[in-house]
Amino acid sequence: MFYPLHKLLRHCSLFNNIPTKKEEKWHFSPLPEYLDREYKKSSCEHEDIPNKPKEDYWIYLKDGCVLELELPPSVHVKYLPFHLELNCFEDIEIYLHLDYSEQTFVDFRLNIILQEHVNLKTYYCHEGGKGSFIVNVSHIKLEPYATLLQTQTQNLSSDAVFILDNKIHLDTFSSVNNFSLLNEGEYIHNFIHADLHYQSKIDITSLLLSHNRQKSLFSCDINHLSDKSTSEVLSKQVVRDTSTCVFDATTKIFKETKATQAKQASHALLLDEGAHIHSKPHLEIYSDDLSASHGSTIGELDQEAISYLRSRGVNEQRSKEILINAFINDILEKIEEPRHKELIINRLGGGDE
Amino acid sequence: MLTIKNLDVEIANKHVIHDLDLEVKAGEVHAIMGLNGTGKSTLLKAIAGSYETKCKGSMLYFGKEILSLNANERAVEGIFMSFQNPIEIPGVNTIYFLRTAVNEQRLARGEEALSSPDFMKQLQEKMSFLEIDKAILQRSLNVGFSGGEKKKSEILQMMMLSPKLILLDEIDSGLDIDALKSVAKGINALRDNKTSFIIITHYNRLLEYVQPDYVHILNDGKICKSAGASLAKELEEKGYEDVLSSS
Repeated sequence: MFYPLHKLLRHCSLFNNIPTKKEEKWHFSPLPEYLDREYKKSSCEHEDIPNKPKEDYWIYLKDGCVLELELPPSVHVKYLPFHLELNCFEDIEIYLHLDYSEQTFVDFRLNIILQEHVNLKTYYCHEGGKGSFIVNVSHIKLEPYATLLQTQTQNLSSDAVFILDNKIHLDTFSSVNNFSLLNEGEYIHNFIHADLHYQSKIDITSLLLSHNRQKSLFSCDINHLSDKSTSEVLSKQVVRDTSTCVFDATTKIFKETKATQAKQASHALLLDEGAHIHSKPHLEIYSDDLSASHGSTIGELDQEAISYLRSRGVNEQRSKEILINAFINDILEKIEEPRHKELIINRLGGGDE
Repeated sequence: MLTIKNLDVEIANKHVIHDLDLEVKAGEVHAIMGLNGTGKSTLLKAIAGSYETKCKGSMLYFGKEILSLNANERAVEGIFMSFQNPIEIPGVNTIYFLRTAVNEQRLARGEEALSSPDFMKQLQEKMSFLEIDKAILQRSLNVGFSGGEKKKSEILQMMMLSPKLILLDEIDSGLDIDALKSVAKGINALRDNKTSFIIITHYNRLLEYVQPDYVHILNDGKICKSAGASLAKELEEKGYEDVLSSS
């Protein structure tokens, strides 16, 4: 049985009310145009997983329901349909395989708690979802001195809608390194909200590769609530055909905080005449003891560079690919975990070097 | 090898080369000299097929009309141009770029790509010959290279690609004596009876190491005087005004 989206969204964990374009973070979102589309509800029927993952520790989910998992006792797990909680007491690396059915509405909630001094590495891969509407809401709490290294990728169908919402709470001396590569789906929206406490640090890197008529949005709100907290947001977008990318980041530095460091940067490469980018870096500063910067560049491929490569016998198409990869390459240096970096490079087509 | 007849070239909406004729036979070295702004670089760009140039006339290369070929097609045919100010390309590793260029040309000619070990062996031989520090090749293409390193990098590319017609646009500018000798060494290493050079220079010092067969003076977009190697020396002694007024 199929249900219209506006009815399914009423009970969605992401919204209190269905957002409209008047709301800042949804201004460029095409969501209002989708409200009459119809989807099946995800059913959480058990099925066998197609291939057992090769990693040491992993979780396999279908439409937001855990089918199978392999975790040590130091991770306390609670799972219900569409809801998973992980409480980590020791260092661990977990691979999450999230598979989605066709034409299905998925509303999945993930809660993660990292206890003090625990280091967690997670790698997410979202797959499938032909014609589906997928919402993933994560609440992540880092206790003092905990660290999280989080890498998100997807191999979704080109007509999927994918909305990610990460709410991250960083306690004292904790840190997060978050990297996302989002390149498939009709509409992709990646939200990150982070509250930073004393001497905590967050490093967010987003790579959006959009094509055809995709809409890819990256929205980020960072709150510096205590002294000596650090944030760095870097987003790169490669925009082709008639697709649209949006970078919308707000970093707020609260009153009476001291020695905050905050950086934001957005760099976009427009490859075709119909491609669009909207860039809105935003700093709200209520303190006078800080270092903060924001910047945004939007450009095309350098014709002189193309010409130089062509003068060496490299054809035009290949020259452009080389320059696009060069644009992307330095962002890959932000991926701290070598295995995650290798997986991302493979997903990008093997890399160049 | 190269026969240019009635060549007109426009660049940036300016008509720079007018009705130019030039013939370069296989194995010859031609030097092009002239005052700034007379069209020397534009001529080389036109031969290399730069997107900036609009050409009319005839340009035969081994008897084949090449004005309709684009830059990468001409490179595959064996035309190489070294740039006056080589562009910096961040994020493109120099070794990776060289390997790509070599193999793209080989594949376009129906040859097999060079394996990594074979490529590295050839590269290391040529780097030693040109006294190039290995470390700079790990960097992005031309990024942070000194002027001399950029020119040596151009010569290294030239040696790896083994072209037949080599266009050098002020390869000697900004070079100290040792770097100049190194660059000249690279040029002379490729000099044989099948490979031709067209060299733009303002000074005789490079030509003392790379003896030209012909020296041409370009003025107002036309070759106004041609002679043997001694013309370069005469220019250095007397200057353009005197030499041109005496012809």
